[in-house]
Amino acid sequence: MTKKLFLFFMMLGSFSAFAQDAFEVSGVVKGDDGEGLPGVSVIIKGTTHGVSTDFDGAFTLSGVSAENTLVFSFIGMKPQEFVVGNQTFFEVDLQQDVENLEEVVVIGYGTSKSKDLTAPIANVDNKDLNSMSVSSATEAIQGKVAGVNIVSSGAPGESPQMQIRGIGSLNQSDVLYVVDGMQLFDIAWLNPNDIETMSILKDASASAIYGMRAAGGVVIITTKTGAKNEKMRVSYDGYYGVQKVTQRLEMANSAQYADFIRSSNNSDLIKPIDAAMERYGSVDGNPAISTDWYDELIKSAPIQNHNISIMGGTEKSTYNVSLGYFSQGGIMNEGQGNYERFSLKTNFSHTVSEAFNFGLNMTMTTEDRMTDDDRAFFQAYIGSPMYPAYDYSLPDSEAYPKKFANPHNLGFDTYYTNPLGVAYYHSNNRTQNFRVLPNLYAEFRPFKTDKLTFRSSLSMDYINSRGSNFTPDYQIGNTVQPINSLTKNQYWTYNMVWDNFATYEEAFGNHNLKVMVGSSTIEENTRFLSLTAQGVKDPNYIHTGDESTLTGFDGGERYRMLGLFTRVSYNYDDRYLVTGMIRRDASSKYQEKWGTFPSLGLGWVVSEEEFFKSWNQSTLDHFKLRASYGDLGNAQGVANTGFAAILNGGLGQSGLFGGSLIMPGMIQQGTYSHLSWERTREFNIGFESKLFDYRLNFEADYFNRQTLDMIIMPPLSNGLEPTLQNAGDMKNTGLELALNWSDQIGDFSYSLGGNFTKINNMVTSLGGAPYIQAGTEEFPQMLMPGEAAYSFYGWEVAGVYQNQQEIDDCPIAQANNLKPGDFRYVDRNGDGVIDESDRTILGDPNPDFYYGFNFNVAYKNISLSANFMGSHGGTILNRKRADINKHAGNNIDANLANNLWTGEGSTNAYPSAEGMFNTWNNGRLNSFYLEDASFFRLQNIRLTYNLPSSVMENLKMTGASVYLNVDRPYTWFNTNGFTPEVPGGVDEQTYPIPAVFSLGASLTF
Amino acid sequence: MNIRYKFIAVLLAVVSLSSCSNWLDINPEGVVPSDDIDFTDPSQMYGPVSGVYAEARTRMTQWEIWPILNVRGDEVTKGGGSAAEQMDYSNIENFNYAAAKNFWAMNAAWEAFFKVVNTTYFNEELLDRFLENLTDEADVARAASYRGEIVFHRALAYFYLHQLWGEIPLVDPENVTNAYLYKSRVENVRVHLHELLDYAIDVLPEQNELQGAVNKYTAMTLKAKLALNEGDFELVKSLTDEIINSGTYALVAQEDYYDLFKIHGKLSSESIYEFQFSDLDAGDGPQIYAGAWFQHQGPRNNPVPITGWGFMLLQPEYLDFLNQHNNGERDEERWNLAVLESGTTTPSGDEIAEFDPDYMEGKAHYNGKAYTPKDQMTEGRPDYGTNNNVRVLRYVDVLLMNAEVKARLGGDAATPLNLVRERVGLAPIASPTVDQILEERRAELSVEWGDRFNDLVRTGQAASVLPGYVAGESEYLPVPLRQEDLNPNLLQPAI
Repeated sequence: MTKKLFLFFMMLGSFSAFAQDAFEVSGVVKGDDGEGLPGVSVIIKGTTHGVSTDFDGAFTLSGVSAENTLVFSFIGMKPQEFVVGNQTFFEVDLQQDVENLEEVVVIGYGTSKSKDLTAPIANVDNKDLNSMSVSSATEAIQGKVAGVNIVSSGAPGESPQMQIRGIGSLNQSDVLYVVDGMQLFDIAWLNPNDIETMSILKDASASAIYGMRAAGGVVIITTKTGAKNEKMRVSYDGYYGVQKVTQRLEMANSAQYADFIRSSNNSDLIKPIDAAMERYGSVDGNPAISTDWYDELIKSAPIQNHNISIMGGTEKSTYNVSLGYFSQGGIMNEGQGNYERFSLKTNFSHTVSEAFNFGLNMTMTTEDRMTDDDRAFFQAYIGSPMYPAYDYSLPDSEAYPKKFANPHNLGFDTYYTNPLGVAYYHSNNRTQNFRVLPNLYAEFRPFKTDKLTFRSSLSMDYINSRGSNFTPDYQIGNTVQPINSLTKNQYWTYNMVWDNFATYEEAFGNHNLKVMVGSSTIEENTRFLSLTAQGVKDPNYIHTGDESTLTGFDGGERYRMLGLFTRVSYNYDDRYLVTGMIRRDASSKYQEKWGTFPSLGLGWVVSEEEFFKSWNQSTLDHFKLRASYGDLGNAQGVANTGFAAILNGGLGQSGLFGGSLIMPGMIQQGTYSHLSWERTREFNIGFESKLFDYRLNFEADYFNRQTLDMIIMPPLSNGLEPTLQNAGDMKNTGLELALNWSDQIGDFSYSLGGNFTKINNMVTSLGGAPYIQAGTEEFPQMLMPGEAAYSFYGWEVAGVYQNQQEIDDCPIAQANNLKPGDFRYVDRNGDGVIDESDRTILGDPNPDFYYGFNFNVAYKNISLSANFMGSHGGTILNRKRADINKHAGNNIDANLANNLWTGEGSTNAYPSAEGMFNTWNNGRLNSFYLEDASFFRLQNIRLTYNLPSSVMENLKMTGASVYLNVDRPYTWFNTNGFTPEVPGGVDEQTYPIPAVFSLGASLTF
Repeated sequence: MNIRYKFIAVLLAVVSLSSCSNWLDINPEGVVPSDDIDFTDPSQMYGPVSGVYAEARTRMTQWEIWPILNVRGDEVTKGGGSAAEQMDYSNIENFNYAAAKNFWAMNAAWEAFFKVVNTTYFNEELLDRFLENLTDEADVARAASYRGEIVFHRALAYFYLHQLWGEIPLVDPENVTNAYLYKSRVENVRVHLHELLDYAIDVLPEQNELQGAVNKYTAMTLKAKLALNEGDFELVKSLTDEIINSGTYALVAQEDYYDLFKIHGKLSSESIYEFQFSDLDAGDGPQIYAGAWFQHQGPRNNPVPITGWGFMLLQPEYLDFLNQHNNGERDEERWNLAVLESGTTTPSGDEIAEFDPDYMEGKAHYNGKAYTPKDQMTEGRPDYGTNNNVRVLRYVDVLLMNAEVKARLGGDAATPLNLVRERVGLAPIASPTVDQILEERRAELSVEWGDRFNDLVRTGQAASVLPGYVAGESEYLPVPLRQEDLNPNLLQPAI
């Protein structure tokens, strides 16, 4: 790797040698009023090399060459560009920028000017995408866009979960990413440096253009490309950093653990304590060894990213070549977790004639991922601290090959094992992906103008994935892998999207019309082959294993989809806007193949009205009201068979007769269903405004999204296999606010931004089923009409019985032989008995609202930016703590150990230590195990220094900055875990999310 | 042709593709429609029958069912690591049924048995489709006997459902997927069971060419057990006489008795029905294994392969009983077979670590009928019970039923009883009483599909023997709450 980078730098060096002689230019910039304008930035296009004008609007800039383009920009003003040529003095008049409304937004099968939009579409620029040291662009926008909720993950290279406007469906409804025309559902493979723009289509009227795959919202990404007649430039972006877990969960130490277990008065549970003292010694009557398993299991790990790109263009062609390398180590000690990605991106376009142009965008990525076994984190929680991590005195028959100590020689059963051993022996789990995404397109303009354009775009996504999971033979006490095991699998994925569409534009006086008609043909294919063998002599090869153990499994999926669509956009005098759309979709997944889905959007630019202009003088520069309604089908879910299927021939379907005679058998799955389209209908109303000379930007939206005929699988009585049914309805309503302020005072510029999202989720119908139980039998998460999806369902703790008097006074306590220190539950039906009918909804994992804000200040060459985000009102289950309900030997966290009820008045929220062993308290899902997942986090802070132009000149660079960056150093939260952000709301074996401290640079030659 | 028109031609081609809806008619991969089976090929006709064996084997040996079936008897308690572990079994054991109404294992048991019933219906449908295409008379006869094998398994699942819950819903053959059934009264369930078993007895052969597959006498044995519950002793007598007189089964010799529930005792001459499992004669690789059914009954903290979770511990009273049963002496053969004592070395040479739970008196005695000695296992298999079968119906039960009804109705009860006694080295009894025969059942049939609890209930001894048992209330478990939630019709009175 280092070698390759070195080579690249060599190349860079030789490029810069070609740069022509530089000279100095000067000039003056004036505003509308003819006065000199201070603080205007003057930079060389495509670089960070530039200066600001002085108090009189004058500037001098050195290191300029003739082919450079100078860009003059100032907040609230329309930027201007000039090719330098042989000019050395520039007199520039900047005009007020009513035109930042002219910003072009990608809307799917076309673009639109920002001011013409009738739907809420958020535009994220690439500065935000590269503001953090993370592997994927999704993670970088966490907390930055209203309506978008992202749950990050700490495991190397793992994509965060993204949700646009809440849980779209109980069925699958992932966010659709459209990268240069290719439709896919993850962008973990994509180097964030390669992204030019990202548009987030939030409501159904906007995303409906992508129809059946867009129910979860759409993110359209265009990658960077060169511009015509642009001089070649070479840039490097990179950082190196360290990941460190800054906030950890503290566990009870051995003395606390021993105290706790002893209060169970259960001699079976106490025996291991005596065994530990006998084996490893004791201090003050407690075990001498006190291992902090999380401390043993967590280490710091490096993270780095390097990217080099070359772009430019000639009169007819543009090009961009970008090479990226990213690597992230895992923070699990003794594990091998790691992620490495090489990416090569090339974009090329060529204009053949005024009538015809074509282009090719291509990404190639290789990913190499080693996945740690998250079970180690769970073992670190439940594992007793009374034994050491390693014990070199153990014989091979008890510890082999590595000398991990074990809990079994203290009397623990095999539910428990050494967490480091799990990390060590189960981490040889490698996935290597090779992915190619070519996109070939051609555009044809029969009238040689933009009036009528045909575009055909063929995109492919080809993934070859190899997995290899090797578990060596090992022994950690009674945890034994007697014979090694190797599983290898091979996935082959080929997806294709072929889009054809025609766009027609016409303006008649004040009438502006744009019509688009098109079709989309989609095929998805996956094939896999998986082989397992045991006793392999070489961990790389299945064939070296014991032949009799070789098993194989293969299969695949294939779906086809068709969409026909048309969109008509009309505006009158830039005041009245209408967007109408109809899409017809067909999917091979459903029995009822075709569905028709209309959408409509309306906009009224109030600020363009004469009456408004006369009434409003200057404060409100732009004000637009918009309302939209969208309807789309969702075909993301599993395919429905629609017929009785057969399970055929496997051991599980075949009878056995005498020893080993297997009669090939079959089992008919007799229940099946006829499926039709799941629909999403969304109504959105909102406004966009720009105030105070375009310095303040304020947007608000209210939405009501209903998912109808939702495909669910209501359970059936008597063990009948449930089938998919169009039987559910769900509703998400919410409010989104976004506010941005930016201003510049001389050399000082700053911006402030904030966003807020409130969402209410509610399951409105389950087709007559009283509930669908998700989660587990013991810790149910309910889908219930009238309640939020995945609500926790159990008993509400009203307090703790404080003394014998309270017990004597309470028939419930007496009937259940309770003691002081046990929980008092709410008797909801007041029948004097605590039973199933006293259960209630105790909370749900969905936050009530989430928010983010950021600021950026810059003075001369230095800038400082910070992002904060938070989430409020979600509830999560502390599954680690609740595990004691079945496994009484578990350790407990320090918070629990320190807060246990110890006598009258000590606490009304925690049970006594003895009570923790009574199923009355621990054997059910109650509010004690549920925790408030609200949090507030310093997401990112970055200090950037732009090198002064004099330095850059000497280095023959046109732009250079270095930065110090800290990601997620601190989170304020209340749950007893590593992070309150746990997918699905269950904190069981969550990979901690480390903070990242990094140093980076961005250089352009 | 002008490029303009070429482009439009391509566009039209795409649009016309969409009208070709065949392109969209693809089945999800990996799913085989029932229609794809070649129903004209009679050689595949055993497939649906074999599938039922597999389904019954898998579902009915789910471990969580086993304590539900057995802990209500007086010979065994739930066991486990602590009193708190899976405590709802204790609620069932103590007849505190209300507390166990939402117990996951009880619901799992209900579902497992019904899944077997459902599969017998779905697979019978497949058999019907083969039958439609049959031309050869011999094949048609074969199909009838196959149907008998399927129907027997339906009866077997219903039998245990009715033993546990009494009033249960019966699947409507006309509408098998109806999920909103009403409960049937116990007598109606029994009528239906008799119909199913009479059909099976009628069509099944005396001997099935597949080893361990069901035959006429398997169905008769189940019918006899049903009749015994109903107190129809005449019927029990005629059925058991017929089974005995057929000479199909014979007790194994005393020296083989120890192995009766072990790998060497699989499909012995006295086996009437077993769920069959196998390691496929290999030390690794795929196997058909009852898994947790053995493991939950295995000794705690013991080295592999004799290791498990320590559930299903024998009660001290039962151990005392066995220690007295041979005329005041220990019933050695029964003890060695039925008891796996912790802190000792077994006759097979396996050391069993001592386990001294504080929730019961004395050290743990595991269920010996799940014990699978290491020296009988194939080298390389680390799991307790690998390659061992789960016994279901036994000839000993037939002999003891025969003896009991003869003692009740008058007849030679001594011959069948003493066959059973002498085989384990006990002295014969010349003219046995019903109580003596019931004692013999207690000694012989410990921890076997709830037989002990059933004997106590049907003979009216339950209330006096089992603490907490209330006659008229404790016979049957409550319908699992989850099932009532899913099917409110279960709350209606039985029909």
